[in-house]
Amino acid sequence: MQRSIRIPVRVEPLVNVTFRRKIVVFTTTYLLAILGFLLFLYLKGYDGISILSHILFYTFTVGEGIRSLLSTWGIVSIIALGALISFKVRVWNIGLEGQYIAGAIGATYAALFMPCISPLNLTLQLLLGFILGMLWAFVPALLYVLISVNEVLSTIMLNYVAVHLLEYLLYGPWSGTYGFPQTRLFPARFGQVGGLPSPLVAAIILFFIAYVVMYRLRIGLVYRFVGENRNAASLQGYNVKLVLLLCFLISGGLAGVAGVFEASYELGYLSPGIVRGYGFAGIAAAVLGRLEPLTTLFASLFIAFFLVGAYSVHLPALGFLAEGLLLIAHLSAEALTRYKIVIMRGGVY
Amino acid sequence: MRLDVFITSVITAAIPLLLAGTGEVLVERAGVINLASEGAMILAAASAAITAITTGNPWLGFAAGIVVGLVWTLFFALLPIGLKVNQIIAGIALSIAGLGLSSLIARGYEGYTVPSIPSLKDVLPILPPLDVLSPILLVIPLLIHWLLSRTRLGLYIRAVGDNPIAADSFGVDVAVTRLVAASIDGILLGLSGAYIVLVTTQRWVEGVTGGRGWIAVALAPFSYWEPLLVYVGAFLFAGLEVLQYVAQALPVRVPRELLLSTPYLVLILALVVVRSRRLQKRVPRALGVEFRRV
Repeated sequence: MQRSIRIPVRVEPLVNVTFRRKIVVFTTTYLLAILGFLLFLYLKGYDGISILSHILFYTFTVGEGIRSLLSTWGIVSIIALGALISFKVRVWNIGLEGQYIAGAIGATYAALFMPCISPLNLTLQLLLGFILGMLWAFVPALLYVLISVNEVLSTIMLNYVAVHLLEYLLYGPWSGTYGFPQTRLFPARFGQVGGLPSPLVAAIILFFIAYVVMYRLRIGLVYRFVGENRNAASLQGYNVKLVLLLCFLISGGLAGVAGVFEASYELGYLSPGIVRGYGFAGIAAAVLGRLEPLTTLFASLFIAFFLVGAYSVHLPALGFLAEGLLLIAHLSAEALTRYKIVIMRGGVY
Repeated sequence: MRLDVFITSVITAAIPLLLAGTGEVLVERAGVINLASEGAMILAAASAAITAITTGNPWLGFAAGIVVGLVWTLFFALLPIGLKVNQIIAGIALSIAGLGLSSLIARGYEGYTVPSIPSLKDVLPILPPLDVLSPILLVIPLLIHWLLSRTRLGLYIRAVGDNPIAADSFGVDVAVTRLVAASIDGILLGLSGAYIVLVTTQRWVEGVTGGRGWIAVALAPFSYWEPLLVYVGAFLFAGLEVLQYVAQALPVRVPRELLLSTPYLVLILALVVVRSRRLQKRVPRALGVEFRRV
């Protein structure tokens, strides 16, 4: 079999990647992804162009659309920051969705059962959300650092557990009137800050802090060193395990904070409606932003646009499809800029 | 629940895990972690349900499932093998896209009962009420074990998973071998997805695979990358899945959600338990590493 099948294609690394090549490759792959998306919609009998233009119109001109776009941008980008922090040290925390749900549960506990003096209560919500998000990441993080249990699998499993925990609380102890799976309204909620939705403001502050820590402080250097080469960092005497553990926990905590904003700003109560696949959206945004803070912030806007648009046409699955396609396009584009595909003729190997 | 009903439901719950888990073992032995399996399975399930409902023929549903599972897995495999993209991110991207795509293409097919395949009881009355496919599907891990340990292709697969550079210098085409392993995995994932909708649940619901694709990925380390040991894991998790329904009938009130999350929690526990020096020795040494000729 090996002698008969030969693929006459070779992938060769490029020494110099020109800026022009990057532009051309990225534009074509992204366009191909969007065209594929439209073609799929067309084949399914949806009018893709009018859906897209509706989404564009809705998100950028209708007041409700803009408001929703900005707050979704904030929430998604906070999760994306969590993804970025763990992915940069090559910890694949895929459980952001679960940690986000845990954070929302924490916020709900603070809002419903803790003293309700508005600023104090909001702080408690944030704190409890952050802690619960970290707690949800704690077991996989510990197992990963101590005995290197595959973190991808353990965090994915905990996503499902988090959804079941949420259902348990909403159908059981926290259920609303007539057993409806919805808590009562939070007495204290996050609102607008200076005309902007609070999740977005929080996101901008968090991204600024992350940037400063990563690129302006000494611990940021250690962090990036561990991300680039764990073995070298460990040989230099840095406590690599501690760095990995902290990054894992912080990324979980940030997802929890996003959950706090979804429950306390977007909805004002806890319901199964908070499960909207934001965890995967954050992952997509972080990868599209090439794991750099500034670009990730803008990639999150791009992803949020698709999410809000998909909800506005009542097809939430469209958001998933767009995220997946964009991720694939982006990954292939990154590879295609760095490699050249050579088709070989004749028997020259 | 009667014992025979319990056993047949465990078997029908185990088969999807058995197929997908064996596929994952095979592809990981070739050095590729396939995290796109959830996406491939659910897309296969969706297309199997659509085909079976529109044509009224469950066998065509299986065929559609296999084709879609194969195409999606090859689509995934080409990214790390051809373009050297990070396997984990590529797998997750294709799983997300698969989940979204499946719920879009199968809109409007929810709730329909799919045409079922004949049961063994119809063929011979003394046989158990299992579907006719299950005896064939149950031996697939055996076949894969044979393939891996007794054939030339199996040797190549193990070689590219353990030391692709050495394999390459002996003239084994690393990319082709990995693609072959991935396509067998794709066929098994397609079968598994189709089996879930056509036999286990018998109707399409959004997210019907319910994380079985991820469980299948976890079955690979759980069974020490040994196809025969997949039987243990698959039946263990299928048993847990069915026990939920048994436990709901018990007089002691256990929260339903706790029962539903036990498989996932037990899986994490299992991943911890199988961590040992012996496991470290058995990991395909080039697992997750892209091959570059130096």
